[in-house]
Amino acid sequence: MKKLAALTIALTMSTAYAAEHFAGIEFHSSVPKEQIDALKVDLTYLYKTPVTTTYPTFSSMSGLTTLNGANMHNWLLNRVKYIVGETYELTDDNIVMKRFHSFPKTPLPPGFESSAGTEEVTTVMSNIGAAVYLIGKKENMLFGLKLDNNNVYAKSPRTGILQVGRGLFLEKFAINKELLSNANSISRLGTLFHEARHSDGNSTHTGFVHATCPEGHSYAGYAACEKANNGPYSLGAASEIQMLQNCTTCSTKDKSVLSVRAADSMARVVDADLATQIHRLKKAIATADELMKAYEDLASKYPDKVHLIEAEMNKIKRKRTEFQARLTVLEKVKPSISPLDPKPEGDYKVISLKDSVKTMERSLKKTK
Amino acid sequence: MKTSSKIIIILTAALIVGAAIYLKGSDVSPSDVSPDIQGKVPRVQETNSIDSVIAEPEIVSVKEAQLKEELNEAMEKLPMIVDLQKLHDDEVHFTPEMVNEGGVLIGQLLEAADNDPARREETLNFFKACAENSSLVEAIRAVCWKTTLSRIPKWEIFLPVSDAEVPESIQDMAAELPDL
Repeated sequence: MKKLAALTIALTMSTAYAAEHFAGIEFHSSVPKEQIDALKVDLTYLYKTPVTTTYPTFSSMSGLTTLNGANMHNWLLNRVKYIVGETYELTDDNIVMKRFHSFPKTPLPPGFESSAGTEEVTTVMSNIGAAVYLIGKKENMLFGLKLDNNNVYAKSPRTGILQVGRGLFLEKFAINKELLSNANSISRLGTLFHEARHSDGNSTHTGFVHATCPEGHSYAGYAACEKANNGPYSLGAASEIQMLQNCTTCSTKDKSVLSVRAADSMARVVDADLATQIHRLKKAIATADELMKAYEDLASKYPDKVHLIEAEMNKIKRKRTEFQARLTVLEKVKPSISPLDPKPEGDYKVISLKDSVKTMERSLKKTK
Repeated sequence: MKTSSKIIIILTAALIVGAAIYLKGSDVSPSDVSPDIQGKVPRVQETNSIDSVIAEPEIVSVKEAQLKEELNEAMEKLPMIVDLQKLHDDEVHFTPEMVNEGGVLIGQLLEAADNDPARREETLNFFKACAENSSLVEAIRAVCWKTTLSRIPKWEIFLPVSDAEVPESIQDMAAELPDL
């Protein structure tokens, strides 16, 4: 009898612990091994890569005053705790619920509705934790998901359950053909940062739900834009630029593709706040200055073209003056729009930097 | 040797080189030259000093024509805004495949020009034209603009850009991108 009980327990344990943990994230048994392995490489790259150049936009958007691997991993871990595979279905078998949960008395994001589709699509990644939280709030019922041996209830958008699909690992979406190259890690991590941002926000911007792109936009009619410049697209792009700046193994071609992807995300922001407009004008002035310097050098190299180069420099000088005048006006304006408050609503626990470092070090030790 | 004989010899040499170039040109099929993108520009064999003096303008024009054709083809392959409207909702949540491929193409052209100075002037004009092309996807235009501005000093080529028809929104995006 004892033997039978022990065997049953052993069998239960072996299936129950099919899930894998790495860097504090629980990978559900539905995630294929090669996808887990690739994500392990990505998280290790994020944690270990020295940060020599800081992209201030990423720093301000993420709220990380010091940018290094440990801080960036901690930021992710507070927003991504579980990863499920493409085959994991949001069916009754996997959904658990509890009544009488008290949700914050804040409004839902405008037009929020369940986005469960029936057509076959190639999933790249989605934040189902935030979606389950919002559906629960809408229905006034606490929903949760069965994840191997855990029932995880979505009491906040910070529940951090992401679904990854094969799209994240397909060659046609990759930066280059080497699945585990640093450039591909940056690309996947950028997607992870994008999805992680969906774990933030409160009230009408809980989960930083995407907005429909307006008429005239390249993605007009698709729910693929955002009205704040600190939402998932903005943050994903900023994280990619931050990591790209510090990539020592990325080729020119890699940089080109990663830049296109970052720009593609930036192009989806349809409302720029005052701070952003000021930032952009400052950048435009800096670009004009760099160009003037380049033309000065070229004038000394090509004396026969001096008159042409000087004429060009005068035009750029005029543009610079125009930018400066606009900047002076904007700097006097009181900010009326500001980035959305990323503070999440609901019940969630903050993971300290100390704890996330400990978890990561333990994982790295295990994989040695 | 009389002057008239010298002229005849030079003319004969010129005709022979000219014919050789003509034959070489006719032997090269478009598929043979397309790998230019990898920086492998087909080169006409070095000749002695008198031949190269006579033959050089011909060689340059052949190479330029090939490069122009290649860049024109590349421009047509870049993703256009109208193409994005044909995609499924889920294909646009993240960067669509065709936009990704556009990035690969830009990177290939840039690497080829970084490796071969003969390609730079035309490639720089291409990037400026790409940034100005209002049919193309904004992300592609932004990277083209970034590349134009970064390669003017790097390749030391004077190209006027103050009148470039590149919207501020695209210039703003380009300014955020790191140097390629």
